[in-house]
Amino acid sequence: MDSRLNEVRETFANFADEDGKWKYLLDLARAHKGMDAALKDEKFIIQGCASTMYLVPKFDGAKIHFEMDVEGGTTNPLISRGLGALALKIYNDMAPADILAVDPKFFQDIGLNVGLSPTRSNGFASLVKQIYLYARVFAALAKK
Amino acid sequence: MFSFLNGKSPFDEAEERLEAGETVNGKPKLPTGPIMGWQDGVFLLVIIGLIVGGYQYYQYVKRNCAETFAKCDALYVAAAEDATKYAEVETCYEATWDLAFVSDTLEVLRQNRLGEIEDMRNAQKDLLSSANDALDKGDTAAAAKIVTEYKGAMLLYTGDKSEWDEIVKIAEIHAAKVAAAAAAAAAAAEQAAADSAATKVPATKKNSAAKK
Repeated sequence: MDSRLNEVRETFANFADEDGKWKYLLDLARAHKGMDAALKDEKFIIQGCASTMYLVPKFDGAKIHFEMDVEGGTTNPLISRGLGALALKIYNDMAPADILAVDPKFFQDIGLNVGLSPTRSNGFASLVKQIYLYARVFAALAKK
Repeated sequence: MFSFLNGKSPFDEAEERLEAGETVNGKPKLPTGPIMGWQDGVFLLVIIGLIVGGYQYYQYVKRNCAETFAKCDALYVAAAEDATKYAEVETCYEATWDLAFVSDTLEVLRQNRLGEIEDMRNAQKDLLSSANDALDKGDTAAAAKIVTEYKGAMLLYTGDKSEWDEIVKIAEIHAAKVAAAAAAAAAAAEQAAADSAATKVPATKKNSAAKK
């Protein structure tokens, strides 16, 4: 887990300017594979996002696997998709307890919020909140 | 596989001639015929045409992209002075989705500017929500104040836009009522002043008559 955080922290520390961050998010977005249309159910939509973001969790009893996709109608919300991909880079395929051990302030610390529009910032916060919610639910289920 | 010179190089041919004893001063006789067949020539021309055409198309696409983005940028700069133009800015950037080529730098610019406009839309949605709350509480004046004080672009989508337009109409009716009430009050005040002046005049006349 620490290695993931360190990798992202290092990447962000090495950006020469703000543009570096945006281009990194674009790269993450382009590299991110969408999800099966059959999984796109309304109940998996993240509330508070300007675009329609789906986050589908799958718990195998040990780790949570997330599928994420963003739809923007006629637009291509690459930054939003990049933000989602970044969150998954940290939290995907982790045990619920490990997810809960990550301080969500991590993203502020690396400067992700700097220059991020309020709508995207809120959308990202909603996504992270949802990931923690799933982690708490699956952690409780795992204990039973 | 494609092959030029029918699969032979001039050296192969020269070697064959050398083997066949065709020499000029002990050196192999150089081929004297055409260096390639007409099919190879046509093929080469097609390849050159494709390369040149592709390059020209790429240049056109790049220029078109730069021009479209420059137009959007000019609109964005103008919108800083006149906020109502942000709707045009959005339309302009939305049209760039059809472009065949967009560099990363321009992509970042597009994403950020559309994000900025999305924020403005959300701010207007919040205002609409506040105006609706005010109307629910029966405070028409407050709702009217919210919509009339808004000087930005109309960025709301259809459903929200019609709600906003409804409140604008209510605001106009409210403003008309306030203006009518103000006019009536002014007229009443004027009438009262005139009446008061009228009641004073005879008294003055009486006084002047008394003095005489």
